[in-house]
Amino acid sequence: MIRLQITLGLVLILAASTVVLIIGVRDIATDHLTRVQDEQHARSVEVGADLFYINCSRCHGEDGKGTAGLCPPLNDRTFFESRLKDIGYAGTLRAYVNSVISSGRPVSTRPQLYAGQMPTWSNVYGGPLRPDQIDNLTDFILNWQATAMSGAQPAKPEPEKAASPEDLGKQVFQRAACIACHAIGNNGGAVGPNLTKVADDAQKFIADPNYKGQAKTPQDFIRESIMNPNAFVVPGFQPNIMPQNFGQTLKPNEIDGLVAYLSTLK
Amino acid sequence: MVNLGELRNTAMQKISEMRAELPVKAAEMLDQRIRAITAGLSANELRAITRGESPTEKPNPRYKLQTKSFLFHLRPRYYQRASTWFSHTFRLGWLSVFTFFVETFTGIILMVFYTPIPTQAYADILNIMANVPFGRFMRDLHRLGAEMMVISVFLHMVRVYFTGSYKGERSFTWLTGVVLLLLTLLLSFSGYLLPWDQLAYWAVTIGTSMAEAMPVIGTQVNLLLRGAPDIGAGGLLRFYLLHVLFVPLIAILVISIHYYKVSREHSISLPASVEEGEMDPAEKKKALERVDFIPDLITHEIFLTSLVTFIMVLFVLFIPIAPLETHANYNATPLDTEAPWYFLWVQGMLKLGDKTLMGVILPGAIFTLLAAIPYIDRNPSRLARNRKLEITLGILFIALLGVLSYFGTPKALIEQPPATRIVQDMIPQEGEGEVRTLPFSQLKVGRYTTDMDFATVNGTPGLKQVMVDLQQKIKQKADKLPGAKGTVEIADVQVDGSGQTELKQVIMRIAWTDPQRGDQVYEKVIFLHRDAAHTAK
Repeated sequence: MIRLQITLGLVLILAASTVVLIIGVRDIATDHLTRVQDEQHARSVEVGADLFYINCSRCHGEDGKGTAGLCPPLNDRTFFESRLKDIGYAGTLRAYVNSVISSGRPVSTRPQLYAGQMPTWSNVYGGPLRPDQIDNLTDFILNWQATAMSGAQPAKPEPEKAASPEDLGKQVFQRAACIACHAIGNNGGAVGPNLTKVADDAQKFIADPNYKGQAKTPQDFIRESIMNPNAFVVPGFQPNIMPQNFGQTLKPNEIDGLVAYLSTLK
Repeated sequence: MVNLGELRNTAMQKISEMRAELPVKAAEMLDQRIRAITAGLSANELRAITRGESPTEKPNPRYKLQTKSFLFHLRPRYYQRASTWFSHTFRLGWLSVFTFFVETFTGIILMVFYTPIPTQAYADILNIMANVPFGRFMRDLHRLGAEMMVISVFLHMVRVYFTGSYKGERSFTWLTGVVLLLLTLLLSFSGYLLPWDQLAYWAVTIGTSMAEAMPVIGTQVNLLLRGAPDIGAGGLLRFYLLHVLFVPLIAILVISIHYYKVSREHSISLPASVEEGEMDPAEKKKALERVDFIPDLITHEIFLTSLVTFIMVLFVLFIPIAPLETHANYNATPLDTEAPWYFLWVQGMLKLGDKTLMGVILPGAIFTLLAAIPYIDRNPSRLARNRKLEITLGILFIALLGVLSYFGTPKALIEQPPATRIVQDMIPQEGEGEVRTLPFSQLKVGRYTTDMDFATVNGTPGLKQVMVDLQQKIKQKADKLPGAKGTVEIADVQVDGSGQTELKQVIMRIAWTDPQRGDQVYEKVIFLHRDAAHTAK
């Protein structure tokens, strides 16, 4: 019995070692791990596409062609080939894309072409996304490189003919990228509260016992929410996500226009 | 005058004498070294042991090990033959300890590549799987070992219960066994959080929220475990330290106590039939004869080690068992949150009643009752025919655990909105599902509805199957989804350098007319990449 167990045991140890050897050869001598890396990259692109669709496509377009006058195309050959040289960025394109998404663009670098502000996205800087999600987005955007169109130009900018404050406000809502985070109807992001019926909602929030702000009317409430977003944070959302400086970056008539436009949403 | 010639002769003689003695002396010195290391076993003795021969010296040096060697003092000198019958122990105690060693070994290797920080942990696991040779292997072995450990500890306990081996002098050993069961569950559960994926994050959120339901101290215990109101960097570090240091140290201590009791104090129980039953004296004599630790038991243990190692290694070669879901997302509660399978019974109880009662008081009572069994059961007999009540109760208890575990599965006792359920079944948030596993080539761009003629998608049988299944599932819930229509839309998103599409968007949509709320739509959008593992190429 002892001899048998020793013999069988030795055979089993040899067999187990063979299996370990097979795994070792597979991991070290074949392209197995490279394939796993490709799979992980593919999954990352899938997640990035989903995030882009939810958060970025309203301004940058579902196909990455950008929005005229607001924000630049990403699915664009010049972006992949000459953007870093143009601005004298010493790092890699990956680092550039990652850092721009993370920290956003408080001021447009090409205001004559793309006047929009890019919100801060990384939660490291107060945005809504985690660093790993920024990595996923970066993977998705860089995945356009192979086929980026040359000289992709977004559609012609719409002339800003502001007939009424409401129309101006509607334009500002697009241009200041409010829509990236706030949806109206089915159109817009879900990072901030949905504004489809913001005037009605404002009325309710003013009556809310937790409301500590100054506003008495929906108009005042909307204005306060733009100038000082933390005055009242809608339950279910985080404070400090919305930029605090619209009071400085928007002109007074633009803010008036925004308030007028949003007050019509009931 | 010194006679040089004589001196030379004497010297030569001395040298040749020393030469003759040298092998003997060297052998003596070697023997001393060997005996010092083996706590008294000579080289000859070692040889005899591996050949299964009887001891070479008297008194039997193999019995001295238990007092002279630290490593062997936990081991028995011998067991009686009947207590080593396979059908009596099933080697479950041994298996529990073996898996503990597997966990320690694979765990330390995994620790080399792991950082317990929320921004790093998940990336580290990805790295272990895609960049570290043997990384996935170690992770799978660690997972398999953990599952086996929970199972073997549980079955060991069941075995001890049904053979009545917890009685009398073994009652304290049973108590340490209950502690070890708890430690095993805690070890397994504390490891659950470390990959920092959705599965981990939400299972542990639920687990610790049960702690919160404890009367009086709940909030504090929850804070102590999570390090903050929600699980974050603090919680991850705490669970990591629990998992790699605190619980293993306590487990080693309690395992040692448990082992020492069994091997040095009261031994493995004899089968009740041998101890109390009527047996033929010759058979009984054979059943009670000694089986020495050296060489019989130790050889058997080493044999089992190589056997189970082989089985485990082969298993993970073919079945990758360690899951990894998407990155933990504290803003998105998964639709189907599932506790680890060994806690499904608790999740089942939670669905039946109040969190404090079902999540804390009852499980606490169950474990207390378990620990108290030897003190409640005063029946001195271990024979099954004298323990009908105990055995019936035991079977009922296990059946109850089974039923409660079924209640604990995500779909049991919870009615989800029908459209959400259908889409979740076909495109689950985590894992693969029917749509993701479609071969990528079958994702033909277009818009497909459940009321169309499926013959048009004959060229893509996988896609056709998806549409048939969607139609089927909608039909099954027709009473809740009046006038429902399912749609699948597939669109190109990105193309690669060779002009091939490599990323597609798939939208699944169910539209129906609710009698109260009018037209309703539920839709889910996913993206599928050609190289992602779930889509066959």
